[in-house]
Amino acid sequence: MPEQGPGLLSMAQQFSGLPMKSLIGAPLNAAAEANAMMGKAQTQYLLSTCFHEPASEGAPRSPIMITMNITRSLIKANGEKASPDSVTTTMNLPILTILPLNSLAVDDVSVDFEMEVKSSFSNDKETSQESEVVAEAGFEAKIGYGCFSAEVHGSVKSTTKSASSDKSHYEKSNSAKYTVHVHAGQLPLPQGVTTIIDAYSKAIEPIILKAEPTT
Amino acid sequence: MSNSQQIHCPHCQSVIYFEAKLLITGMSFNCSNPDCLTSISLSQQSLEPAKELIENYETKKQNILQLSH
Repeated sequence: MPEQGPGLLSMAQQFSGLPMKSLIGAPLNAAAEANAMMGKAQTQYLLSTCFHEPASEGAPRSPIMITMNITRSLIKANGEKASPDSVTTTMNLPILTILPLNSLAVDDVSVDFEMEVKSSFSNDKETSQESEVVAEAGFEAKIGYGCFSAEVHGSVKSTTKSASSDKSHYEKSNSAKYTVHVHAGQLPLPQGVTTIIDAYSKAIEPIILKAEPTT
Repeated sequence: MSNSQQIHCPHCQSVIYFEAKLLITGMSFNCSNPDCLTSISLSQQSLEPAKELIENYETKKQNILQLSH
């Protein structure tokens, strides 16, 4: 009877010890933290570069303004160029409105986990046993009766030979590969920032005064 | 992602598309309304501060993106 080997480990048993929560959760947490850091850095940058420092803590910030020229061509009613052919006015608008803003954030996190479980068992125990038993016997008899005589010769030989072979071999291997890909890219601006920029952009539109009521 | 930005035309309320990187070089951009004949450009005194801000912003943005890769 061959000796019992360690047996094959079940696949479920191999994976049950893996810290899947950490393997998947840790990169996601790191990405969330990175997003928070990037968002904070961008906000601080915008506040420090596009707005004047508030006079006191909690006071509203005023935007840093730039001057933009608005040039309009002048054309006579008959289609000819007027003289001067254009008129230039200026307007002030917050520098925030011309900054090519994009939200920077981690936009892709992929966790690749590859594990190879290789467990094999083979019973290949080798024990060699050989025995040989040889037994040999012989006899001889002679009988005489009157003029008759008989002579008998006999021999018996027995040979027993047995051999057994048993080999045992155990082999096990594990390999694991863990890869985390994180990619940061540009996302559309948050609605809040878009609203601020829209508000500033609309503020540059000219205000049309209503005609004074005639009395 | 397109670098094109837009601003409302102060005259006709149509959209004026512009690119900040070109705007800071002194380039002017026309209103998308062909009948409007309005163009915008940065004034001379605003060119330098705007250029400095936008270049600084782009550098910081690239630094953040490189750090995250």
